[in-house]
Amino acid sequence: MNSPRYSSGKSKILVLIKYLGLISFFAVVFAPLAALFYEAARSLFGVPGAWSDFGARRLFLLLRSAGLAAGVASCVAVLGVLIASVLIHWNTGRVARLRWLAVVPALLPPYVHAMAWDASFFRLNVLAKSAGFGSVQVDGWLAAWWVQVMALLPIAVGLSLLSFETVKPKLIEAALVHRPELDVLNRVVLPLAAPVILAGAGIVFVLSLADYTIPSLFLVNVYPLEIFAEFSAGSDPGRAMLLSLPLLLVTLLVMVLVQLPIRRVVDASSGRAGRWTVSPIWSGWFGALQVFSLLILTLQLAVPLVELMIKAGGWPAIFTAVSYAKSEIIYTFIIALLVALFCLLIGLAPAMELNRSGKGSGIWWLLLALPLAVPASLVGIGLITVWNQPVLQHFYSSLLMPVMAGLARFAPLGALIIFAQLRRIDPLLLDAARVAQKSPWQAWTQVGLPLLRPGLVAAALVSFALTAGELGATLLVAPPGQATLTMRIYNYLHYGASGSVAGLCLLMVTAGLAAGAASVFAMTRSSSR
Amino acid sequence: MPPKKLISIFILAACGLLLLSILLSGCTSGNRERKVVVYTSVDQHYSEPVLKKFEQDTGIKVLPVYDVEAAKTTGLVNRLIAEKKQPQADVFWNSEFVQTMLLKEAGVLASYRSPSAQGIPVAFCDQEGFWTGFGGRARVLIVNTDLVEQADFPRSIFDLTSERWSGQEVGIAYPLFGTSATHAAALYAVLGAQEGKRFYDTLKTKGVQVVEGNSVVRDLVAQGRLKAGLTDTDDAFQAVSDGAPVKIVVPDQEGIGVFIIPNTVALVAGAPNPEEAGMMIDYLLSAAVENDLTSSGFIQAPLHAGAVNDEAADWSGFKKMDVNFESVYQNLENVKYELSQIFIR
Amino acid sequence: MIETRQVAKKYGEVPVLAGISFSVPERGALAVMGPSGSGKTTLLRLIAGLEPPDEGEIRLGGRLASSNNFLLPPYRRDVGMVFQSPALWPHMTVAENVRYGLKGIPRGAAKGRVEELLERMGIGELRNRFPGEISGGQARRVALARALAPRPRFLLLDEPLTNVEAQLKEKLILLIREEKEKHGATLVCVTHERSEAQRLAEQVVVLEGGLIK
Repeated sequence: MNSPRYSSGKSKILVLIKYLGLISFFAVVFAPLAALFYEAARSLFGVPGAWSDFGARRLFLLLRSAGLAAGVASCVAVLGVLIASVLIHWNTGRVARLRWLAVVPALLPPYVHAMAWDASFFRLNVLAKSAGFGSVQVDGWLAAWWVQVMALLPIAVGLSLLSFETVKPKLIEAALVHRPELDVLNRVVLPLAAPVILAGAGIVFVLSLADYTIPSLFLVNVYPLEIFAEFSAGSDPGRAMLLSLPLLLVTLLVMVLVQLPIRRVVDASSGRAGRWTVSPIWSGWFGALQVFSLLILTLQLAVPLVELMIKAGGWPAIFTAVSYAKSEIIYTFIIALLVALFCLLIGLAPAMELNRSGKGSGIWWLLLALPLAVPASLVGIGLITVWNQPVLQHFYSSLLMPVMAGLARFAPLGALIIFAQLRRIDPLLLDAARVAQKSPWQAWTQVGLPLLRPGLVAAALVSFALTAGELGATLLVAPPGQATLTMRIYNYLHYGASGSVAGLCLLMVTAGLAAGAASVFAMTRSSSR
Repeated sequence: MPPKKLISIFILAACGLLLLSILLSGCTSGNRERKVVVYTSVDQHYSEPVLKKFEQDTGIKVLPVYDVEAAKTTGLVNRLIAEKKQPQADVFWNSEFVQTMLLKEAGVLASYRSPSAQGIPVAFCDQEGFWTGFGGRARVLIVNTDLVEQADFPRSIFDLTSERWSGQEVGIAYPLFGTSATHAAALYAVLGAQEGKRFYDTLKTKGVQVVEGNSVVRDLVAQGRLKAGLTDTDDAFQAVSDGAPVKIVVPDQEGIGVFIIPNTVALVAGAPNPEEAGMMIDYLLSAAVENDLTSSGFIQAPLHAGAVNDEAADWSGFKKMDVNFESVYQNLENVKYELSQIFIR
Repeated sequence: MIETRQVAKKYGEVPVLAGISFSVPERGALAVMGPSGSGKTTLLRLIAGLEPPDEGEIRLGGRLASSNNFLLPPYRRDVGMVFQSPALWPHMTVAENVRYGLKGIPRGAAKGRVEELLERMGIGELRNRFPGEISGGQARRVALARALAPRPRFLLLDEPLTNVEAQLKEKLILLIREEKEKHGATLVCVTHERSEAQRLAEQVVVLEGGLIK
């Protein structure tokens, strides 16, 4: 009989790599935040009365913003679950992976959703008027809520789909023998998928809470606008950061609340990733809800695309816009690609820490959620404070700074997505690899990473998309003479070149869909072997 | 594809890109070509041709960073302040003046008296030479001609508060950011704090549409979703040249006069390329650039005597608001504080 | 009665069942044996209604349950099933797992039934534990209790007694037979062991290459 191999001596490299990953993650994500907290502390103790003007008005504003974000998050979570409950059945052949394309519209920057829906509301209004219904004013709050739901839906659909796939098919089948589908969904699938679904809702909440562009386009005042007003009035990042603290607190609170009801379950049963083999017959009302949610998913993509196509004014105009922005397109692509790659390199270690059970994981959870709630321009200031040093001039004036901006803002999200995939992996498989390995490195490269692949691809895609659309932090650290596509789009936006804006946005979405489809097919080929 | 291969490809790609990016960064900062770094809040649409021309004329490479309206002027000014210890920029070209004055106070700027500034009225230059003004833009009313008869045009910004217009029909940009904030500070300076606040209070209680930026005001009026609005001339002229059914009204000719906001240009303290920075400032302050910017529609009130070569752009006949820049700047913080209480709620 | 007529199933291009016909009389019991990959598990899944057959039909109690264009949902077939792996729901306790199939039964009665089964299986003290906290052999017994609890008319067992020690196995076989007799269930059992097959069923068939040998 073979004696078991104990590899504690050999895994030093892996431990080293892990700590290297953790240290890089901290340096990239938390160093700028630490600089900001330092500034905030200086303001708090240095400026008398810095805190005193947090009056009823700001509190009310904060509560309303949190209310909007909660409304958006809960609606998006329900829609995400409904849509995922349909998409999960598209599980045979190539269509199986194509359903992940539902996530690609995340590439559309929020302002594109806002403009498209604003134009559609206006069209509806004109139509209603001409049909004799009088003018129908879409309420600002309602509009802001709806457009944020549209903009954030793809992220929720993706995470819900991922969460459904974490549920082992055997567990579903064992329940299907006893109870109808809806009951199985309710009692077995949703409780098991809840951690990722709720995490998704939490992330959507934070993204909605930190966004002021969509609300202010619909004349709705939210708390982040107050931070910007403060920042632009005083140009004091400390005070602005101080004003952001309530946002961070609300974020922390929500992230804790979201994780509380989840009973952390150790699911050691083995089996392939989820697949419902029988097409279920849903009861009438649930089926109707599903159809409704699919309709919304379609609208979510169709309205921006149609509006963009109308505005872009034909292919020649698009080609012109694209050729003018060629260097920005290439530049943005390189930056977003680097962010996607580095996000995986530095996101893996914290994801693994999060996956360990115990008290530490809860702290990690909060640590990863926190950076998402810091306003982008403040992150930019933090990055300048940390990296604009005499010895780092080559680094600071290079394209690596926008890469750092993307990482500082979105690597935590990448880590959360990798964590979602880690949860799906049967620990037995990793144990088996560790027993049979010739080296720890081999266990990771041949078993661990391949099992993690879907999560890595998802993390890379999401961080790529968000980086391509990042503005606030990139603007502050982009090297002189270089601009990203989003900076260009905003410039066009200002002097009303909506045709060019539409053209470039269409390009972004088309490229996203193409890249998404390509990676989907690559995944299908490798996994069907 | 076998997993092993996939992972080696991934690692190779990461390393390759890292190398490439380091190479690229070496290219941009390593060689000794003459260059000047310009941070500008002027729209790329207007500023890029001017900077390109400088590059062509002098052979000095211009590395610009353009601000965007959506960043709510928190962009470049804050970047300049944050980079103070290790400045990256040589020249700051601002489309208005209060942020420049703020930078002076923050110790970001250095004094530079340009020979090109001769002929620019002293009132538009900082006494200590930290900045120089040129090419003024005006704050104007833009009116949709499909919806409003010529006879009913508003003639003053105070008409926006009159009973003739419902709040739903007229719009302004948030008076907390950019030129709208500067305008508010100027009104406070001219009318007094009480009257200034009353004006904005009335706008708010009336339910005037307060939108994201001046370009949004322009778009809403051009689309006929608003009858009239308050915006910058460059935005308004854009709508005119796009053929939208709009007319520009220069307001308050019988009253306080139209508010003119000059561009300002300044040298950054500790600029990495001071010599080139000086050349750039001299160039921007030249009558020729003012001319070009007037022709392109960005400025309407050139400050160089006799710089106007375009009759349509001659604003010399208009009554301008008589306001001291220093008092506008002094009012700004209070204005932003009061107005955020009024408008962000 | 469980009846299959020319049932065939392919996964992709690979035929798994190539025309299976048999019938198990009411209250009867059939053991299915055969090498790995011979389609035994697939056969049970088809009977349970977890997948539709490509060809042929399956009748339960004389009623059509599956054909290539009709599929009665599993929960309406009155089947109880033990899977190859215990497939316990990790977020429910042992008792909750067993009680899941007892719908439409008064609370007290359901609780009594769960208690009774767990006691008879010798795992009564585990009722409040989660599946992650019990051993593999215990999990198997919970899975068996879960399948038996609703007193199904058709009982499908996929290697129910692997990983169970010999002494206990004897006890469980008796228990299965007792439950089956008491409630008049019809049984199909997949197993590797001939002795187990003979103890549980009066009929034994051997599957090989998708056909009954």
